[in-house]
Amino acid sequence: MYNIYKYCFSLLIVCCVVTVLSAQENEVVNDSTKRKVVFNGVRLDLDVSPVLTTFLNKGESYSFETGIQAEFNRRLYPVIELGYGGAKKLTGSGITYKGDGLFYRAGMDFNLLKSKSENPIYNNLFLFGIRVGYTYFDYELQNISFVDDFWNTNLTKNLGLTSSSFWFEIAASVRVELIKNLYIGWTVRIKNMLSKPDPGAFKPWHIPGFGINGDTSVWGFNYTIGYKLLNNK
Amino acid sequence: MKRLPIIFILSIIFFSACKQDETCRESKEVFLRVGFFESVTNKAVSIDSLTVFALHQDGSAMDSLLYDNRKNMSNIILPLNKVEQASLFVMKLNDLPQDTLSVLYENVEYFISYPCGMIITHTLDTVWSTHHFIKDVNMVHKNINTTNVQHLQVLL
Repeated sequence: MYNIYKYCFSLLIVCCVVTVLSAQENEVVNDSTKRKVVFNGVRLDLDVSPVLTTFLNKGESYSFETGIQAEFNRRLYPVIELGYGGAKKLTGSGITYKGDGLFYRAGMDFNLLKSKSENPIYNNLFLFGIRVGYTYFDYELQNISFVDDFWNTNLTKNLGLTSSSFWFEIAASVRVELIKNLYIGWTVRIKNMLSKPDPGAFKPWHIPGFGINGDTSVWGFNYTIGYKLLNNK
Repeated sequence: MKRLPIIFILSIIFFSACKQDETCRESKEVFLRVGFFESVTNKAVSIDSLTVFALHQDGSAMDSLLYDNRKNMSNIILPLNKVEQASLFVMKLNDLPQDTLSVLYENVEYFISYPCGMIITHTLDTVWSTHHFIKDVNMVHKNINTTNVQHLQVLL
């Protein structure tokens, strides 16, 4: 099952990259109509929300990410996101958790905002889309202790582990063109893990790119500043 | 659109306030659960007077008693040593000569959650006893964890 997820994710990445690097305009001749696939440019986004979210999380977890999104026909927006995240926390049971790593996401957004003009002055967007995320990272558990008052035993151990995770996201985004090619905006995501660990097995407290690894869905927020390259208005 | 940054900041603050529950709400108690049964009819019996204590690895008795002359006991719970792979318990029934119950098992680490931490569960390997008042010992369930099931049946 893990290999199937890995190959599907790799195929999705390849599709997004090929789409971005392909020719600017292709004509597909139909029997009755001509449909044009128009490449409108590429936008590079930088997430600036860690300034606030790391403070609100009391430094227990942090995440930095960037993304590149292509635009086709002002309707389709394939996207690749890359980031680095981690966490350090003293948990309720006395175990200290430390872990960090890179994460990746690929997906597709659809613009729900219809422009009245063929060439609007400002290209504002309301996007709705999906993502598949992946990470492979190291983490440590320190001070795992077993105290037995009856048998008078006290056992303490530390562990170093690696983990990989796949997850699925649904995202809604707004992008506003402040001045020519400069965008600000936000993204709200709801994330769900695609696999669960075996009962009794160790699992990481925090997954880079996903968030705190609980039993329920996780919400995520980004506030981005972006610049559009290769703008083909 | 101008209100977007304010809405976003308020949303982050609101959802950041929704913290994960850090209270452990699951049981962490792992005990060997033993029931007493009549050997002929196989029915559960209540013992008039029962005393149980554990032995150290060197065979000497532990200071604290697990059960001290307890009345009307039909089942008991015994803590297994989480560092060793064997535990011995001495049982005294009424005024009869005592019997020793020997339990061999494997210790298994089980991670519950970060609020609860880890526990040690056990997988029973072999159980036997001396035979003064104990006729036989049956292993009913091998896996000893936080589940409330009977693991051994002591036939009298």
